[in-house]
Amino acid sequence: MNPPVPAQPLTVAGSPGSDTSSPARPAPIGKPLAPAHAASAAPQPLLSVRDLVVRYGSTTAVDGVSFDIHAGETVGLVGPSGCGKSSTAAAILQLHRPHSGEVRFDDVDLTALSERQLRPIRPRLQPVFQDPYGSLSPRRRIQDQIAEPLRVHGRWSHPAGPRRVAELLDMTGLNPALGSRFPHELSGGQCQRAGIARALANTPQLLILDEPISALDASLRAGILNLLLDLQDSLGLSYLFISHDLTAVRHLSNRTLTMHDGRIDG
Amino acid sequence: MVRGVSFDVHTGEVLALTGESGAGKSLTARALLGMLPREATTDGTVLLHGTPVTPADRGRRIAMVPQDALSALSPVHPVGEQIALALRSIQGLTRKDARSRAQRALAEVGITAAASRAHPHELSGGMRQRAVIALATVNTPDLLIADEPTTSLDPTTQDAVLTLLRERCTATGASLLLVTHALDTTRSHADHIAVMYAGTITEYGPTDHVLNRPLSPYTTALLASLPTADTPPRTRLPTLPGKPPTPGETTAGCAFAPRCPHATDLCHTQHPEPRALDQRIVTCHHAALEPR
Ligand code: SF4
Repeated sequence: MNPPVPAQPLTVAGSPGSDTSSPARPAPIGKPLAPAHAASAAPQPLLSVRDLVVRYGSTTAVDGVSFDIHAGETVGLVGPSGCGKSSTAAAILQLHRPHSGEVRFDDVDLTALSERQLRPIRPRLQPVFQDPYGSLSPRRRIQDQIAEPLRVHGRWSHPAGPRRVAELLDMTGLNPALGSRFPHELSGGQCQRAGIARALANTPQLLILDEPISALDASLRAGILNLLLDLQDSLGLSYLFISHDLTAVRHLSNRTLTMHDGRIDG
Repeated sequence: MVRGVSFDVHTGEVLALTGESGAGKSLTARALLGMLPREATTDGTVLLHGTPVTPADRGRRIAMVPQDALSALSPVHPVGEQIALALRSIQGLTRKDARSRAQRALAEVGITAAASRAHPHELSGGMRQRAVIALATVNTPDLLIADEPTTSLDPTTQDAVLTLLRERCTATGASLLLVTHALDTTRSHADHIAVMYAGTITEYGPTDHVLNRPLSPYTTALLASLPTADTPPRTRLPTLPGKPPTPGETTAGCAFAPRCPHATDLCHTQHPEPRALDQRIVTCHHAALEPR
């Protein structure tokens, strides 16, 4: 079970666009953010998307989208399927390079970077996808999959590596004994937790959550929503929460954006 | 995998059969249709207006709207032609009569004459599901079984398709068994609701009773775990411990006992029997009207 956490609205003091009716919250604990920003009274947004246009061949999936996400903030993104939500996510992650526009992450425009230049930045913004089984390899043990991002970025060593994996399992509410299991031996909820553990391996600042609870049964959804809230409080994470479940989005988000036909409403 | 399931669908009403994956909803629906896999065995009776259902009733007295519209439609014929064909084979209409009746049936679900000449793959998901609804209701069945009919559609289309489904049932006098995992969609679309857990119905009754004053501990816990418009943002939601049993797993007592906050020794050793309580049937040893 998760430790009881006081119910507290989460906002970043003075950030434009955040819900100013909620009381300010002390700076998030966990991994420190860039010092210059943390000390500033009106911090830069962590992510700033400007005039984003995404095309697939001749089809325009995202047509001039702009929004900000501040440190410790959750922005919800809702809309019908095909409205461009997931294309926006892919473009922020630079998994599909945008046609035009800027994706500034911690004041660096990711669209201007080469794959090589992106490499050290990628661990700081991580995706969590919908299908908990599909996003894990069926043939590898959970612990090896959580360790993979550490190995890829040259952060694997003994005994710190295995200790970090155990810590990540614990942080996401998984029994460390589950580490030696394979995905098919876990429930959908446990797989989604393992996916989140892997995304957290390299201490990201921003998680792009693309329908993270849509494939889960109702009785398991609350557990994942609680986990996301707990992790945000303890690690100071920012979330872009994409879902068609409007109640879940409203529950988690400081602000909610609605997309239609590649544009943000309002 | 499904045991001791009994329920009535009243004439002209909508009964939602709901539960999480593996609870046995689809298996129950398929048993009604006589569409179980070969290795499955069944026991029990299905009566339609008091007479047992026979395989010949499929498509006549009982019709089906599946989750995937494409599986119900032929890819090689325009949708209008498929409906005309169904009319000719079941009602023996002439080619000409069947064609005009099909046209009308499609118009009633919002498909234009031009779209009726389209092949299924040329239509959107929502339009395809509308065509399937026309196909399923055109021979005025007594019972329509819709198995997750809107799960593969996007949320804005879902509501419109469910409303249409209900409307067509009312217009043709069919009862509707709506199989769905989404508890919240039952609120506006079902008269009665049966909540399944691990192959049994834990609670059955009028939708507003079950959703607003649940009596079974499972329904209560499930509803509590879903955020609503009234839930204060960012509060931690109550969760159900553990996970549902795997389908086919047998338990000595109540299948929900390992996760139930009210479980007693009796629950772990003896299956609860369905009992009538406050206009409902509840399968629980300890469900009671007074607050626990
Ligand atoms: S029978 Fe017992 S374990 Fe089952 S739901 Fe009722 S109280 Fe809970």
